[in-house]
Parts: sequence; C-alpha cells; structure tokens
Amino acid sequence: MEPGIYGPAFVSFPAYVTGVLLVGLPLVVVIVFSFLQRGEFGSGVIHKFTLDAYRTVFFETDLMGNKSFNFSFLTIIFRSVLLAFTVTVICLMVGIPTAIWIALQKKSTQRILIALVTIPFWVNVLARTYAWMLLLADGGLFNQLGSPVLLYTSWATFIGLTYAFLPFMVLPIYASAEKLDRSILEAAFDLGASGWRVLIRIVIPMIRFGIFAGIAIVFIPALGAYVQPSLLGGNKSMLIGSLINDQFGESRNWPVGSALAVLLLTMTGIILLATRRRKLELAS
Amino acid sequence: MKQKNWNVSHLPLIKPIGIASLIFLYLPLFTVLMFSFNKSEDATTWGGFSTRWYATILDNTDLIRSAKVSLSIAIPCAIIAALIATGLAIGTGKATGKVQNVLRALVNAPLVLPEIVTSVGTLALFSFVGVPLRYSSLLFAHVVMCVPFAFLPIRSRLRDFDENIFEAARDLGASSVRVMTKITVPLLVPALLSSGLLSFIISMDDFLTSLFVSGPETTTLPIYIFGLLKLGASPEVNVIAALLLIIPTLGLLVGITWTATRRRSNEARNK
Amino acid sequence: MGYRKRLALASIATAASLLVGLAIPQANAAGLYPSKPKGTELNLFNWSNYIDPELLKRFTAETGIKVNLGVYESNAQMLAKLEAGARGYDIIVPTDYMVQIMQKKGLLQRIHRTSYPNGGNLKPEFLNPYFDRGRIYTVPYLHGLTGFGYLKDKVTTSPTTWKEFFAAIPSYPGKTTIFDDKKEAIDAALRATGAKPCTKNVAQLQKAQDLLKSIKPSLNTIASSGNIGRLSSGTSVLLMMYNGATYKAHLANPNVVFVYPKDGLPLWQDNFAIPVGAKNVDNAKIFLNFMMDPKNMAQASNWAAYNNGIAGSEKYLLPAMQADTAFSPTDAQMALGVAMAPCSTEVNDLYTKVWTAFKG
Repeated sequence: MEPGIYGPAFVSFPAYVTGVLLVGLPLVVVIVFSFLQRGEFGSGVIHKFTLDAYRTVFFETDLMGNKSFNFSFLTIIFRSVLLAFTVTVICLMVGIPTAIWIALQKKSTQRILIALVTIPFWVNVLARTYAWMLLLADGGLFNQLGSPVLLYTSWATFIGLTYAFLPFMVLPIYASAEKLDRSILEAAFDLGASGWRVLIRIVIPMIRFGIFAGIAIVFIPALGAYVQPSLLGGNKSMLIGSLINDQFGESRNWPVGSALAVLLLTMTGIILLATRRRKLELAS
Repeated sequence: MKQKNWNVSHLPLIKPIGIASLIFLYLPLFTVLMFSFNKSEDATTWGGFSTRWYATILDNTDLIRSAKVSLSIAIPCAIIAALIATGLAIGTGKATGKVQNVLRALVNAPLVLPEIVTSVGTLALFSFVGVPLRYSSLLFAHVVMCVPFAFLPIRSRLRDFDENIFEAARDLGASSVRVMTKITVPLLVPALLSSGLLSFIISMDDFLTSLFVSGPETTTLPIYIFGLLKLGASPEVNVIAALLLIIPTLGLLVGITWTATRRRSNEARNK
Repeated sequence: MGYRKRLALASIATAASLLVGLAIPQANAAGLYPSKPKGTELNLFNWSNYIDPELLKRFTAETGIKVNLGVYESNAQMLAKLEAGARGYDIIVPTDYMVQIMQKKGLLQRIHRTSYPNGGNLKPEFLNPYFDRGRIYTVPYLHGLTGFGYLKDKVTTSPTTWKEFFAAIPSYPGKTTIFDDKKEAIDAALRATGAKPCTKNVAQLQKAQDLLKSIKPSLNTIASSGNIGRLSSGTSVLLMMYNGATYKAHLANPNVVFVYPKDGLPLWQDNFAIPVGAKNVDNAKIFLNFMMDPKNMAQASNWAAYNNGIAGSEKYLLPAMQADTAFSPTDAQMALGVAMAPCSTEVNDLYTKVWTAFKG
C-alpha cells in the first residue's frame, strides 16, 4: 500500500483489524444468526438454515390458531419509527434556532454557549434520565405545578429522548451555521426582507448540510433507544431497542432478536443513504 | 426600509428559543444537584438542606467496586483507542481508494449504528466463537466503540496541517517512519490528549454494550447504577446522579479554561 | 506377556479404577470441604435487593473473602446471562423450577453438602424438594409466596382473590403495578379467570391474555423490583407483591396489607447453587456453609422478611416479624400456596405468545 504523507501505511493495520473483526464480523454474525434456528429450550442457536425468525417477526399465529400479521411486533416497530420521527422533528424545531442563535453571537460568546450545550452530553445518560424520573414523578416538580403525573407514560419517554438528543442536533447545525456569511444576511435585510424571509429563504438553506447531519445523528439512535423507554416509559410500550434486548435476554430467542437487529440495520442504512446523497449534491 | 444594524433579534423566535433550550438543558441537571442535598428520606419531595447522604456513598462497597471496574476498563481503552485511531489517521492519510473507504466506514460504523445493534452483534460474535464474557472481552468491545470517537479530534487536527512541511520532508528523503515519528506525532499531541479524553468519557459512560457483554467480574458503574434506578428514586441515587453530573462538568470546565488560557498565551506569544 | 493376558489385565484395571473413581466422592466426602479460602473473591449473582449488605460485610470480615455482587430481576434473565457466555459466577440464586431446568441442562455442579460443617442444618421438610432430591445441587435460601398488596386507606373494596385484584385495577389508573415476569403475571391472570397455571387449553390462555391487556392501560409500570418503595410511598396503591416485600413496605406504612389470594397463589423457594464454570468453587462452598449457620440465615431472613429452611434459625428471627401473617402464613393461608413447577416447552411457547401480545 502506498504510504500516506503523514507516515507509513502499516500503522493503520490495527484499526483495520479491529474494524473488520469487531465491527464487521459482529454484523455478519447477527445477519447469519437471523437465518438460523433457535436452540433447544431457547438457548443460543442451532446451525440449521430457516426463515422462522423472519416469519415470527412479520407473521404470527395467535392462540386460537388464526394466522395474521404479527401485530405485536409490527406495532412496536411502527411505534419506534413514529417516536424517533417525532423526537427528531422537535429537536429540529428547537435545535435549529438554538444553533443559529449561538452562531450569530460574537466569537467568545459562541465558545461559551457551545460549551454550555455540550456539557449535558458528557453527563451519563442514566443520570440525565434519572433527572426526569425526579421531575416527572408523582409529587415531583411538574406534578406540583399542575401537570398530571407524566412518569411512566409515553410522554416521559418522549421528553427523555428529546432531552438526550438535543445537543446532538445543535452541534452539527452550529458547525454549519458558524460559517454563515453574515454579509449576505446584512444585504438581505438592507434590501428590506423581513426576518422570516431571511430565515427561511437564506439561513436555513445555507445550513442544510448541518441539518441533514443532525437528522441522522438523532433519528438513528432514537430508533434503537432502550434506557428511556425502560426507565421513564414504565416498561409498558416496548420499542425496538427493548424488544431486541428482551429477545437476547429474558425471552432467549436469538434468531428473532437478530432478525429485528437486521431490520433496524436496514432502516439505519436507508436513513444514512438518504442524508448522504444530499451532502454529495451540495458538495458538487 | 434600510436596516443598517441588524442583529439576531431580527430573526424571529431565534433568541427566545435559544434561551429556552438552554434552560431546558439545565433545569434537570440543577434539579438533581439540588435534590442530592435533600434532607428528606423521600427522594422526590424537598425536605430541607442537608449533606447527610453524601457521607453514605463511601460506605457503598458495590458502588466503589463498580467505579473501579469502570476505571480499569476506561483508562486502557482510552490509550488503546487513541493509538489505534492515530494509526488509522496516519496510515490512511488522504487516501481515497475503495478499500480504504470501506475499511474507514467499518471503523467508523459504531458512531452511526444504533448501539443496540453493535452490542448484540458483539455478544453474538463472542458466543459464536466461544469467547467467555470477561474483562478482556469487555475491553475489546469498548475499544471498538471508542475508536471512531477517538478518530474525530485527530482527523480535524490533521486537516489543519500545513502539508508543505510533509512534502518538504519527503523531498528531503525522510522515510515515512521518520516523518511519522519526527513530525506527525509531535504535531498531533494535543489531539491525542483530546482523543484519549473523549474515549475515556465514552467508555466510562457506556451502558448498553457493557450490559450485554459484562460478566461476573465486570459490573461497570453504569450497570450498577441502572440496577439502582430500577429500584426507584432514593436519596443515595440522588447523590450518585449528582456526582455523575459534577465530576464531568468540573473536568470539562477545567479543560476548557486550560485550552482557553493556552490559546490566549499562544496568541500573545505570536504577537 | 501374552496378548490376551494384557487385555484381561487392562480390563480389570479399568474396571477397578472406575469403581474406585465412583467410590471416592462418597468415601472422601469429608475431604471435599476446603480447609481455607482460595483467593479472596466470590462472584455472587443474586436477585436485585435480595441479600443484606451487612451480612455480606460480615462474611468478608469473618472469612477474608470479598463478594462481587451482580444482580438480575428474573430467573430467565439469569439463565440468559449464563448461556450468553458469562462464566465465572460462583453462586447463583435460582428459584425451584429454574433449578430443575438448569440441572437438566447440566449447568449446575454438585456441592457436596454433607462434607460441610453446617451441612446437616437443613429443616427435614426442605431435604427432598421435587427439583433437588437430597439437596445435591442446592442449599435452600429464602422462600415465600406471590400475592398482592394494597393500601387499605386507598383501596376500600378489600379484594381477596386474584379475580378481585384484576377487577379493581381499572379503578386506580396510574397507581397499579404488576411484575415484569412472564410466569408470575400469566399464572395470576389464569387463576383470576378460573384456570390453572401451565394449562394447555388455548381458550383459557386467550382469556388470561385478554384480561392482562384490559388492565394494561391502568398500570403505571411493569416491574418486579422497586415495589416496596412504590407501595409504601403510595405511588402504587394496588400491586402484585411478594409477601416479604409487603412486610417491609408495611414497616414503612402501616396502611399496607398483604393478601393471600383465595383462588391460589404460587409458593416459591429460592436456592443457592454453584454453576458449572464457577471461578472460586472453594469460596463458594465456604459461603454456602456460612449461609447454613442458623444465625446467619436468620439475619438474611430478618432483613428480607422471608422465612428460610435452616433448622435453629427460628430463635434468631425478629419476634414482631414472626407474628405477622405476611411472614408466617396461617395454615389456611399456607394451604392456598401451590409450589411452582416448570411448564412444558410447548406451554412455555404459548406463554411467550401471550406475554409478547401483552407487553408489546
């Protein structure tokens, strides 16, 4: 291999080894497992090819013997997509203005504000989720201010996820927004454009790159979330993340868990492709 | 109408939403901080100020052991991940061959894939190959997860490099190893530190992967805390959550002021 | 030597060594208990919040062995972890039916209890349970029953059966909880609808599923842990509860009541066992011996509020706790208890269908 200008090529081998062995191989194994048969008593897998796992994910025979679509699983998948979508939209609606606001401050203020936005990201997600367990509890702050008890409802899961992912949305958009050419904005205002026009016709298109990155960075992990639905949502409405965890844990059905993981992977791939193509368009 | 002096308030809603989002981000953190000083035994209702629960933390041997386990994974992980990521950055340089792109995408995959997928994948791989779940397996899993994060500061630092230096060195006949040891690595040192720090934090905070890949002797701090959280709110958890807040924040503030003073002294020196 | 003679000698030698090999464990049983700890660690995998931390500290002080505690919330979770490759746990705490499942899979090792100093301390009625005749693989830990609890100042209808329990749930939306445990939840729903646990009858299972789905909107969370706090604080006013946990909640809130449902309830027995692949077998045996001391087991009982199977522990139990029916059921209440036994694989699959339909 041609050495790079910074140093010899061979120093990258450990990275490639870990990449292939510990990133590529696990994905391959998961895909393979999704086509294998469930082990005896549910443990592990038997190396026999079958489509049973996928059949279980999409179709079911209920107790009475009626065949139908597997509404339980399909509802879970649909609910996860809907939740991830809503969280992403709200994060966009709050994150875009915040990023723009920070980017339009003077440099030193920008650094402080960005540091402030980043700090919650460094706090362990469990501690941040626990904070909402306190706030939304029966007798907690929100309850005392007159709201019904939100803990253990889907609202709590939604709030917890939005809270966790807001910095993820702000940072890439800010990265785009800080490069905003202010003279264009000034020109627009000089020409008499209203604030809304400047915002929608000029600013947002200019930070498209960051917005797409933000969408990918929020939507994908939100799809696979596990901690928030489990602690805040009352463990009642399963999402894909909790379902996969369940199949690999308590329910001990690895092929079905793998099939669900493959499904999640596919959805992730679609999102990545959708947001990547836009970036390429912009680059050219 | 001419608006000579426009400012951000002219863009509708930007300022209020910006401020509101900062409040939204910090309200929960202040709540946890405040409630860790709650005198009452009922964790969710305020009963006066007290530091009594902080004293009980030191008695909690399970908490301390899990913190030690987490540290024993995070520190080696930070070093190894930073080294591997640096190797990747140096070794591939600006190459854009198909093989390199695929491999780079693989290495970066943990950053974009949902963690539930990578963690069950790692578990499935270990099970398939017959690797038991112990310290080394968990360390490997963490390193793989941290490398893409470790790569970020290094890549951005490389972008700032003046390529002429490297080309000059090659023209002068330096071998690639010499270029690496004499020029690249010394220039990368600050990025290496960020890299290590980033990996350290990612590893300390990790929950999902550790949950799947942990074994008898590898109960990490987040796993222990999750078990406590399932038992519901309690004064002890309030304190633990507050500490999880205070320690990284202090560390970050120290880091930020340190980089700011370095920058200022550099700028002063360069005047 | 001639070929035949060599063959004969070899066969005799093999047979002899086989016999000796088989005989040795019994003959040397006395020598199988370690004279001192090996290393300083013990990996204990236990139910969440199920052993007195002070007891573990005393164990460490007396033996020098440090206890690394890992926790789980259901037998299925524990089994899943072990089967996923987590080897090296020294002591696990499976419930009766899980002991049988694990023993059939060859996941447990013989503990050689008779060689222990305290090995004979078991109450006679605990010596031959269906899942481990002669107690070769396990030592009894705590046992109890799963019923339900409520706050008598909030739930005024005084339910006495599972049927009434489920019927009352919709009246207290957001203040009720059931266990995150497939077997416990479905068994309770089956009893409430007039059926028996482990039934193959699909119509009965369908009724149980419908019942569970109907009460789901009124539940706050589905959890097996954290319920003591939920009940005593009033976050939940009516929930599925273990008897001992309810006693502890009662200590914090005198309005707490425990019910032994008249339509039957499960009687479960938790046990210590040493899984295959344990890292510190000697220390595990020392721990088991420690727990068979009546004083130590009584401390465990006093803390968790469940009774145990060690003879002589009665005199160390807290009198107030012993007098409470949540700890000591009357004969009539005890008669309602039905030992938990594992269902067949096909019934288990049916249970999984019901559970996924309910939980999803």
